[in-house]
Amino acid sequence: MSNESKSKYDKIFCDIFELNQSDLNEKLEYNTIETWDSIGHMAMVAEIEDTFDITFDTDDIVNFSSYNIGKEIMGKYGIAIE
Amino acid sequence: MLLQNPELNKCNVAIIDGNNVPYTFQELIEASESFSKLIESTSLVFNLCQNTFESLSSYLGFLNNQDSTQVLLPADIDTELISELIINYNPNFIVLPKNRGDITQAHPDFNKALVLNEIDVYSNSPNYHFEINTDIALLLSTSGSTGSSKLVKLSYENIISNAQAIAEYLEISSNDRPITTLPMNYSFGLSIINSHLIKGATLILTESSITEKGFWDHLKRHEATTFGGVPFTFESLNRMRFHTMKLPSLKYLTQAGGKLRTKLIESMINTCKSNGMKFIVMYGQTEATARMSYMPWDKIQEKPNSVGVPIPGGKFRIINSNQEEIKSPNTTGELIYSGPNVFLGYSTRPEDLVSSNENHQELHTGDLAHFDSEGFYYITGRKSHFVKVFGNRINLADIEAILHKNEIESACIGHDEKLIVFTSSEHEPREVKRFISSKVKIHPTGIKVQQIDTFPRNQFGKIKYQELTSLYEGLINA
Repeated sequence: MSNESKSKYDKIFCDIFELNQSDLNEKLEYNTIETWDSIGHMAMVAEIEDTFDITFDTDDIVNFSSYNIGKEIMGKYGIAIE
Repeated sequence: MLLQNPELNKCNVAIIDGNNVPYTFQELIEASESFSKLIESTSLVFNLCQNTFESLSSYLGFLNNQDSTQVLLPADIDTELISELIINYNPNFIVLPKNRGDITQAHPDFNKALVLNEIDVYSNSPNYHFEINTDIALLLSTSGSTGSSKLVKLSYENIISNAQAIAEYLEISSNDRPITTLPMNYSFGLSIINSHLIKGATLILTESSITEKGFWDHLKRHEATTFGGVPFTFESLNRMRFHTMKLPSLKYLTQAGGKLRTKLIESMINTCKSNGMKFIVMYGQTEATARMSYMPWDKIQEKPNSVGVPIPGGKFRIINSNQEEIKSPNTTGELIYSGPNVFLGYSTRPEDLVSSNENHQELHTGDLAHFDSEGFYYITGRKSHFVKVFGNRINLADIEAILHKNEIESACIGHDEKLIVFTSSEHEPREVKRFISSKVKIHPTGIKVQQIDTFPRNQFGKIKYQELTSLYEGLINA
């Protein structure tokens, strides 16, 4: 089950930010790549909310500043990534 | 010239920058003078700007010197696009943020003339003489982000009159504290700066966006009273559940840069109302310096889809296809604006800077509109071939031209605030999307690339865009 969540989570990052699986690591942070700007951020948030059927709190949207921090935030909503 | 208000108290804080440093009007004026001093004869300045104190001082300094004509460009402009502009216009000065040294490497004629903490000013050979009509104060790109080579020529009168008109209808005073949400080179962003400086208000600068915690911390810490946004800003705020946020310092929000969907306008009105704020919907174009109309707060609930009434000093009329004025309400035609903020004309090459006013205060907006029996205006469609994506106007012909230059044949349409690009099947859609995104600095999620075997054409070989629109609608509804 959690494996399935991870692959969904990763696919969203790859699709929205135009990345490959190998780009998804602890270095992937907001504003470090051109596609993860404010527009990309909101597109990613929307996609995660729709895919996992959750609604983020405001603080979680603005704190979602890296691929890894995002995993922790997902945990708060009962979605284990990895 | 924006700071020549005789009532201005120069000890007041003009700027609070992204690092929480306050600067008084006196300090701002002094900082701007180091830039205006650089200009000794008619000069063209390229200014790659950001929402920082130094950028803002440089803008004001060059604006204040009548001998300089300034082009405001985004700090993250594509290297190739800026190179083309440099070769085309051969400017006398270029203002660059420290991280854009890549640009001068390609143009070794430029040498450092002024070194600051965040920006450097480079100058070309000092004796180079430029013929420019000194009525032209400023040049802005028609799109906030593409850095298209088509520039809008604005006069001192355009800038001052529009700043004053905006300050009047928004009732801006020296107690206001707007926080920046838009780039300075974007006409809406610049209009917020100008209309507040002219009234002696305090600008809170930030390079953070509303999706970052730093933005909200900055807003709260410095008690911002207002900010502006394009439709994308309000879509984001909606998803961030703006209605639950506690921001007691905010007094009103402004929206421009495209039509917000009705449901969201209504939801923003409710949120603002219950938090003691106002929501002001406005309409404009870079060709009108920024603003042409605004929706008075007391009428917006009744007419949420209206762009309101003309700004003080401005007038609208609507014409039919025979160029005759339509005088009856609820009849659609092209919207024509007249006022002292109508631009002087376009510039695509340096020769265009010699001539001045080609428009005589009248602007054909290219927007289709009507008015109701009370004289409120409604935009219903577009005559011209462009699309707004994330608040930025994208000229579809420009995209086709950029792709053509790179041997990709395409036909572009706009659909639901997205740029739709049809290309022949030999091109990989993902690559084409990436290419456009990097060239025009539009996020890839705003672009759809669709492969097509042959372009539908009429008997004269012209692409039938209407057919492409139907084709696209069929695809997304399939």
